[in-house]
Amino acid sequence: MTENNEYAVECEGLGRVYRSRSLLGQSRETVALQDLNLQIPKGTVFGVLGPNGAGKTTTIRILSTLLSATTGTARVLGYDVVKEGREVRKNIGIILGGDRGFYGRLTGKENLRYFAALNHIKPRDTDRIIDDSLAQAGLADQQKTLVEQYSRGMKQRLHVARGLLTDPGVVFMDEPTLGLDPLGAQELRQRIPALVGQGKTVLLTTHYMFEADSLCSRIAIINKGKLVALGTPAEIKRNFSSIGVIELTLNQTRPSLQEELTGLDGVKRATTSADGVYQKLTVHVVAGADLSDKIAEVVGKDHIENMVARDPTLEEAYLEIID
Amino acid sequence: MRNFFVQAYLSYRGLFLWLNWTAYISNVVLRPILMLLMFALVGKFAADSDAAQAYMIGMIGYAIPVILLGGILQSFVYERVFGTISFIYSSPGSRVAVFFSRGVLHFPNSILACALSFLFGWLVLSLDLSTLNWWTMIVSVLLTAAACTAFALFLGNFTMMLGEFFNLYNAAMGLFLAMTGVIIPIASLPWFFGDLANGIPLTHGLVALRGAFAGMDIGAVRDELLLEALVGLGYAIAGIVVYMLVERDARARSSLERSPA
Repeated sequence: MTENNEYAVECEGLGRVYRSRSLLGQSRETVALQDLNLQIPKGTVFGVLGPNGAGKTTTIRILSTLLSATTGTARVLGYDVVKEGREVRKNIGIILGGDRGFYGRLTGKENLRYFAALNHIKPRDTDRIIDDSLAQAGLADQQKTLVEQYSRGMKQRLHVARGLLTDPGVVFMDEPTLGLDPLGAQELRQRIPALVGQGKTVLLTTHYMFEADSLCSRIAIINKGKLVALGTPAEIKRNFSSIGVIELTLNQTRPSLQEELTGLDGVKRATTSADGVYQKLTVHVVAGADLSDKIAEVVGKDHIENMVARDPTLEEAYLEIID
Repeated sequence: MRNFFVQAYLSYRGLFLWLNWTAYISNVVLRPILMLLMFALVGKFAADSDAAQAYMIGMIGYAIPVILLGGILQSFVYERVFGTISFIYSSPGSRVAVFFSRGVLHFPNSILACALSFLFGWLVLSLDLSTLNWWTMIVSVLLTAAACTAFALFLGNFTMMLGEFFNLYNAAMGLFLAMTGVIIPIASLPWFFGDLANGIPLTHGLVALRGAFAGMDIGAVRDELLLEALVGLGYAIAGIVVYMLVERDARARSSLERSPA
């Protein structure tokens, strides 16, 4: 692997196998990550997508030095995550999310004070930095409330405040908007471009495809520990999924329609949903296949109010890729 | 240095779940006093006033590890239960500072428990202070508390791995009660237990403390104090080494990421 100043994160052949023993002493191995190769340019938002158990969190844990890789190497800002772990830890922020990770008997401000001390923030700067972090996280009014009394969303905001406390060069965000109310999630999403504007690199895992689509300049999709797609959101939609989408607005439908459509050659999936007084029919077809006429025929031309062919959304492409 | 004390203070408040009025009074105040009362009465009824005096001195010393182990062991286990250990491992913070900061404020707790036992013995149970050498007592108690703090920090590593502290705490307190000369003289211990006792904190500190009540000055118990200090130093060094090994193992096996069942 080359040491390149252009990249914030570089992985080569990264893999992780979990070994455990059953009660009968039988050895079991679970491959969580396999031969992952990534290069994340500095000052970008990079998304890692994949189903539960795909290896997203394992990737973040390895890059943040919390977990050793069983194969391969990784560098963060040029530092090897194993040999120069302390240098890596000085330059990263982690937002893991979830209910755990704080001292419930301390207030939000005291928690940040503790982690500021742990991270060697100078005492004379501590108050200013903590107050700014709490204000930006929208927790200024709850700074003196015990964390055990925080809601899930407030804890998530505190995770964000702690992750950014040290002004890190690389921020690892593992499902950061999970548990946040829509307003809080939107506020966090709006902060991410600002972080990139400050020169930070963000590695984001999420299950919300629109979040990845709108925030990330590049995306990796991992499935069963393997990298299955890598590129810009547009490239993922265009090049990695093998579908095109035909969307119809219908004034009338029938129960057997989906079955009839999926019986057509070249149709992969058909779903219906309500759209006001109309029904929306979304048909995934093999990429490049021109099935508009056949579909219109099956549906019945009189029932069609509108019909468009379009590229798949990231969510549609993602579902196709991991299928 | 200021950051070290910030960590010590906040981790003490965040991880010491006996830090509420009922738990604190029952564990730090009432428990040592009731233990002292029980053994003083056992001594008086079963033997004589000399035995009662010996038992009371033993229990004054015993109050030190009771509080220290209870507080420090739970600090370690709750670090894992609360999930804060990940954020310590992902920080560049000094592991030596994190490790030793967990013991700082439990140290005065143990001195307080010991002092309350002493006061109760003197005011209520006629503990004989006629020949007491105060300086020897103070130095013995401080050194014993320091050695027991190091021992508790060392054991804390194992409670963190186990994910609970009561079993290890109870076993350790049984060890202190049976093998450090609190009630049973070291010379009376069967098999090799007497030799084993030399490696447990409190054993030598208690000999020095008994010397203080017999009027000995610090010079007369110097060797015992030195041994107590060495035992404590040994556990302090072993403790930080094990702490770092646990961290390394956690990275290799992801063993501390999960909340214990």
